[in-house]
Amino acid sequence: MLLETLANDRSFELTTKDEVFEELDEVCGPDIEYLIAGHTHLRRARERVVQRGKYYFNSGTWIRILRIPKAMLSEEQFPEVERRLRDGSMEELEKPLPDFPEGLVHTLRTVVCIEPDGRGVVRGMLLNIAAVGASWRREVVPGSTLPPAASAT
Amino acid sequence: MSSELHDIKTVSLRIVRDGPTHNHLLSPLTAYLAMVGPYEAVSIRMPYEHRRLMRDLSALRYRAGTSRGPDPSLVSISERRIIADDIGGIFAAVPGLTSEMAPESACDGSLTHLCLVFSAAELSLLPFELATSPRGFPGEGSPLSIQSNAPVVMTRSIPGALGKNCRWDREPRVLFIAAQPPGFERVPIKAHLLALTKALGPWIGSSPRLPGSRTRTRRALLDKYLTVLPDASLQKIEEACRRTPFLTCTSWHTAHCWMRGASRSSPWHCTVPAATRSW
Repeated sequence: MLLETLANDRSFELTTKDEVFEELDEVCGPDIEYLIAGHTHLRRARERVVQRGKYYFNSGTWIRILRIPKAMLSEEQFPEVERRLRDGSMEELEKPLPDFPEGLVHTLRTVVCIEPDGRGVVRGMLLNIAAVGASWRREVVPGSTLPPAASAT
Repeated sequence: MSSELHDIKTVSLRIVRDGPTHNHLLSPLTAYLAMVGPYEAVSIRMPYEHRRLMRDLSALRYRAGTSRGPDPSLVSISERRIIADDIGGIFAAVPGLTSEMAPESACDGSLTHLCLVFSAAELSLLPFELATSPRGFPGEGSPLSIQSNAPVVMTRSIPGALGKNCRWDREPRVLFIAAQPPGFERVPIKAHLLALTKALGPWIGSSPRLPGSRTRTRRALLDKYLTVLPDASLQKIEEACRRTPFLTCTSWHTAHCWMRGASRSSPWHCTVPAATRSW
């Protein structure tokens, strides 16, 4: 069932049109330059459907989320995933997996940043608040900068 | 984008209300208990009637020039400012929060994570992210979420579910009960069935025939998880519960009920046909 469900899963892709996006895109006016949402667990950065050149960002969630990498659904790897799921403890779910050091459960602290770049072009982007020891730093989420730098005018 | 190091300071504001999570409307008459860290809990009230907030939220969606939705002019710029100030006032009413959010209590360059925890579902309607920074908060008088004195990230959550034992690997069983006694309007059975079928998609698959089970149609698979009583009576419900492979009613994970009917003497009782009693 997991193989079938996750085969074409695009839940974690930034540009996926989920129900929250579709509803907000419809109910919010097309003149809004940047439509920002949050608290829906899956972060997003994409152009709006109702109006080209307008953008939608969702900062996702700061609580832990479960993600099963597709590579872990193979016959060789999945028994370990199943064992951890059946164990039922957060400690087991958080332990690093082979090739996936973040484990099955991890935290993605994301914020939305909208600011002018060095040429004065206003851009939106998602930033990871990534742990560095006891401190944190901001990292741009790849592919989240909108409008993309290459298409800037 | 700079990548300088920062500390993160987490401040949790817990707002709780007596009673169940759902089925409450916002009202200035409702008292909530607000708690921050080790500080004394305080009683607060929300400055909104439910209907007024819904109107304001609709207008704040800026649907100017579209055929649907209210005109944003229903909420003027000054009114938007009032909404933001009202929300900021909720924060200001919690002395412990002011202490925790004070700029001087944060290290230079730190990021403050303001974690809002609600036990009352109706509070999720309030646009806390719109709040004007109240006195004692960083960037006083500016929008709290985007003031640049000391960055604040607001998140929302519900009280933790520690101690709940939720089994993830049980197959669902849904009992859909519907009844439309004579004299009452029809119930939207088809729409609810479609929604339930969609929710059961992970178990029944999205294609009519599933690989490896050519003889079993999707309908047959659906029957395994969903039992429908479109013309329910108490007797039929009882028989359906008895027919399940399990002996107790708790074998149903969900009973999805849709019924029309109410007696004037007991308006909260749904009635089903051929029933000797109501429930």
